Amino acid sequence: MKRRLLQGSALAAVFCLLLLTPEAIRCQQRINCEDGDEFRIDNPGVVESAIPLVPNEKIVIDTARYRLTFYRNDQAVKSYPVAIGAPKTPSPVGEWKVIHKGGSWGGGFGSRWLGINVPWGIYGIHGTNKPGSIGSPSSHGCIRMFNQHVIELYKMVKVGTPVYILGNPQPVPLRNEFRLKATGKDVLILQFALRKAGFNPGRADARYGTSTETAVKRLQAFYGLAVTGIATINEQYLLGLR
Amino acid sequence: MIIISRKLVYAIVTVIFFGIGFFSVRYLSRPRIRLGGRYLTVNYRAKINPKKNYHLRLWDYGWPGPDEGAWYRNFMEAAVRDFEKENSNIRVELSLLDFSEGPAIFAEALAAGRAPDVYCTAYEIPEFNYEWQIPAGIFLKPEESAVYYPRLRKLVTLDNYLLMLPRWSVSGIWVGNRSLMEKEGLSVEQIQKVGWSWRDLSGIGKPTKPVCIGNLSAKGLLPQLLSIYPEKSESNIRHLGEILNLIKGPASRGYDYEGNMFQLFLSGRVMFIGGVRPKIYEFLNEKAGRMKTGWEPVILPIPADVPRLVLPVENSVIGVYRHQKTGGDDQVAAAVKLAYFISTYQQIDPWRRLNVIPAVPDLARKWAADFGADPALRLVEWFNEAELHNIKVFPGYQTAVYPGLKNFYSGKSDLDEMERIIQELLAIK
Repeated sequence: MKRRLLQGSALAAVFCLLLLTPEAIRCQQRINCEDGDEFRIDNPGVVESAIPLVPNEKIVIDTARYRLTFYRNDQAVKSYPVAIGAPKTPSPVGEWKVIHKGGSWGGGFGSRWLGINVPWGIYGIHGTNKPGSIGSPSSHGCIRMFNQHVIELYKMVKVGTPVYILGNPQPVPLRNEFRLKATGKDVLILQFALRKAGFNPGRADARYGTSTETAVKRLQAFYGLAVTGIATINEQYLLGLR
Repeated sequence: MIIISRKLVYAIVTVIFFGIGFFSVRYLSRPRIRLGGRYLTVNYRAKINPKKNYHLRLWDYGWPGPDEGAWYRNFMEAAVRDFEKENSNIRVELSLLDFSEGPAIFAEALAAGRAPDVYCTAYEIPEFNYEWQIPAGIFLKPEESAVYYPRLRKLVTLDNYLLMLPRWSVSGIWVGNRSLMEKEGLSVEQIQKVGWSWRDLSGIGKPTKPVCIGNLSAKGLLPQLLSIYPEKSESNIRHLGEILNLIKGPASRGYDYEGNMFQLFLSGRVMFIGGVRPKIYEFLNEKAGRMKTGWEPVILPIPADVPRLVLPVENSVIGVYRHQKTGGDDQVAAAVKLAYFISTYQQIDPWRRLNVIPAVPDLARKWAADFGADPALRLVEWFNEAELHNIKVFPGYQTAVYPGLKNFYSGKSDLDEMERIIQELLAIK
């Protein structure tokens, strides 16, 4: 009898707890990043494009030197050693932004999570339980940091902070036609090529948005081609991509 | 009651008549010119006052480059500095417009009376604006006006007045595959020397491939042909339709030839690309060299009804404008001095990069010599010898004409539809 009463009370307590749990906790969502680790994110459901960029602050990750540096007003505030993606699973080179912050359940392994808006996977900056991997290309694409470092960085970084992962984008086959709203690794390659040729596509974020479309239009006008904003094989040839 | 004596009345009437006469004579003897059937009041005898300080606004276009366009800004800033050194009482404020948005920005400023004193266009000769624009040539000496290519000068001359100063030009050309041409018995050298005709193209098409892929843009194949056949007549429309049909040849239905023209041409499967700028030739030539295609892309004038050299051209010209803050015609004279300086500026590095030909023959020869390649010399010669036609800009081309032309080129629509499109296009003012 006592046992049943205890069980009932426990169930009731759990139910009450669920009801009383703050909105912030109930809205948390679990994600599994490319490294296979599980994190909770504090602001799920936020539309990536609606997150404004934080001005005057940025994170720069130099994949050649395995270093992450946080800048404020173009002054380096703090620099940390990191692990980057292994050659077969490279870190996503490009110009991203922090779209969600979070941490691991219970605050143990991985400790903190800063998710970035890479369109082809769940990538982010997080801590690790393999501190020996720091300073090497060993992750599945995420940026790994020492746990105490990522906790420190987490406090400084806001959602919307630009994240620049420097390096050469991974070569991939290009589609025949790029149009508005296209996303992917090949879009990133197109954006870098446009920039190299002097046609500013805005942020190299693997998203074929209006800035990239405008850049393509300018390229077409410059060469006297039809100004469609669609990057066909012709434009890819002119950009040296084929 | 005021009593006015008769003498006073006479005196007042005399003064009034004298005043009317004085101002009428002044009004009727204002320095003015007759241009395009209208009178334009401008003191063409005005001189720059050496004791007065002038502030001129110069608008030009910024050009892309790996350094975010700094190369061109540096060039223009150096030109302005050189001008200011020679004219210490003239200060120039330079603005570089984005070349895709610039024309709209300029049109808006012009309509509001806020045009710059000097405006350099890119790839177009704008309509002369009778309200604000001054024909730049009236402030130049005959020997100064004579420095430009005569045929380019003709494109910007109305009633013997040089409306704008030519700066550089670029011709619409065809690019051919020398090996394929020679197999068909076409002599590249002969075509480059005396031109060729549409008849040379008939019978060349392969069973499934077009003989030539046209660049269908707003400055491409069709507008280039329209610059040569501008009259809106039934026979012209039919003739243009026939030409387009001939060029298209037996194209495969539904295939996007234009979107793939470089690849098809470089693969050696298509003999010509029609209606492109020399910048495209430069690219194809480099690419063919890198790809070791084993054949040479060649530069060609566009075919005509009978073999002759005919070139549709896009131009950069420099216009001089009045605006709400123009102090007087001496300021316009200062603006013309700046425009002339810019149009004849001796540094031509950017024109090499853009692959456009300076409008002054001496500079054009220097330009070609610096290129050190045959096609550049050929282009410069053509500017002396060929019949030049200015390529008109058709508003709404991209949305109204391009899709229809593309459908025709990919075999989705017939000749009647194409003729209807040409008719509509010719109706655009």
